[in-house]
Amino acid sequence: GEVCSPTLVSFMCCKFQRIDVSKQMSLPMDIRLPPEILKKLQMQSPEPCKPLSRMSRRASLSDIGFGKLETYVKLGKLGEGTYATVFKGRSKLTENLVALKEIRLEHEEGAPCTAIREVSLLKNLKHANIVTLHDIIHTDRCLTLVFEYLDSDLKQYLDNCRNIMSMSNVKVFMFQLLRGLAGELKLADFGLARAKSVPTKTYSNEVVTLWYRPPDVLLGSTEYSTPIDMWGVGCILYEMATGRPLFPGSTVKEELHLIFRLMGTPTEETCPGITANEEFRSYLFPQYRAQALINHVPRLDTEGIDLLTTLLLYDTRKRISAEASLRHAYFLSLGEDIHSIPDTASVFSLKDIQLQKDPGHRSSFDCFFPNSGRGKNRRQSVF
Amino acid sequence: LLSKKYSSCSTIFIDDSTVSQPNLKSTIKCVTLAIYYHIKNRDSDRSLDIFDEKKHPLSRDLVPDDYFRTDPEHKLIYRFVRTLFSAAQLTAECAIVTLVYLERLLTYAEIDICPCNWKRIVLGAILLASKVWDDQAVWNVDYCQILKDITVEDMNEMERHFLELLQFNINVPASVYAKYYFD
Repeated sequence: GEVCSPTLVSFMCCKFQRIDVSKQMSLPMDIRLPPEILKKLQMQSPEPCKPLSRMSRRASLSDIGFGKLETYVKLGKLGEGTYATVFKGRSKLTENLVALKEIRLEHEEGAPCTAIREVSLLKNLKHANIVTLHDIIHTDRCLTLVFEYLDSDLKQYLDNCRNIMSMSNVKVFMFQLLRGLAGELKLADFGLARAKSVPTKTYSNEVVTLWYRPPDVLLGSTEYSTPIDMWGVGCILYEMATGRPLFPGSTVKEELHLIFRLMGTPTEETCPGITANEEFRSYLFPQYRAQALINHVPRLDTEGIDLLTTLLLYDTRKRISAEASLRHAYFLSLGEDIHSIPDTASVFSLKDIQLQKDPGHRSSFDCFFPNSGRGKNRRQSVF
Repeated sequence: LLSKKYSSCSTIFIDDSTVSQPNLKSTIKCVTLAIYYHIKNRDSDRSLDIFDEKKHPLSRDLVPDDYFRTDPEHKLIYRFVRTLFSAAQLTAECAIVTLVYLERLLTYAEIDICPCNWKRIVLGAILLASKVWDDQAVWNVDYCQILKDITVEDMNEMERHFLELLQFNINVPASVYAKYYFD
């Protein structure tokens, strides 16, 4: 059951926002109810404040169209794997774009445990920086998860600004990523931490890239722990600041080689226990000395370099945590208020937090933010 | 109610498979006793078709005339659960989660566990608990080997209803687990 490890929750579901989202409600605010339902709801509610029981609430959600396949129009395939197929779609209720993840159900297996755990996890996560699960449709042949549609990832974003992001935007995106991860740490309380191995496949069964993996995992550690994610965060900070991936290895050996060449070959001092690691010893890497990161990320300020350094520590006990990094000096310039916004609110609910135009940004604003002109309350994201 | 017999030594429970046998047995005893009292102390007979044995029999054999009217003895519940647990090689941990899911179902679905539905509700809870909590996941079809007369279609449909009624909330926080474990 490795598919629903928290690592995936963090990296696949963390999202960045460019446009403010108002407080989340259980029903989308821009929902368009069919007139017959509206009529029914009005007729049925002589006491509008009376709380609905679980069953009747569910029945009325179903009347509206939740949990029904016909509520969503499939627009095109986004990706396919052996476990699931993801389609772009549109909700007839809100006219919003959605991502429909269809999980095929094996007759003999029933609902896959990974899918059940995934739904349970995602239903419990309500955070502005974690992708929202809107609806679930469960039929005898397939389980369809309806997610909000995110139309751009980090790579596309960087392509769009020709790999030159404004450093102030890098900071805002980093903060959002760490917020998503810090929120995710609460998962530990859920008692759902059954799948604790490091995933090697994505939800759609693609092999996970090696680029964001820490050396301890590359050297055979399979235990999932939160510092694993923090290494990847460091890689992403570098990638946003420089426009290119930090350690783009294509094999485990090459990946480790790239890491050691920049960060220095690990020693008992920088990485306790490493000299006893058989796998590490078998590679016989040369003794590289650590290089100064500032020479590689000149656009990052001193605090940023310090954060990057603590994210890329070999010793997992010394690697900075998501919570601690939110309090890092690098983010001081975002102000104190950013620490008191509720989980479900976007960082852009603060008027001081705004994105700058990226220096390398392609020709016009509109081709970059295609929907911004319409003033719709639609979310967009990088991840 | 149940705690008297129960000493909790988690090291024995987890590490030693020979010692864990009696522990599994006593856990199943406690869990089935809790189910027994749920049936005995119910206020009404609210049920759902999917769990009704009259509509979805678990066996082709005829049931006694008073089967759907009489509360099952603790022994009967215990034997039913023990058969499933030993055939599917489930753990004591799984038995506790079974009880959590069963009680959650009764609350969420607003139904009562009664003579006509207890077997299917217990089966559904075990099926879900074993799938979500045991590392070697049991497939729905495996239960058709244990209970010869049921079909995998029936198991799939029951699982679907169960999950929907639980609203996919299969979470068992450590605190809840501990509470059930010690109670």
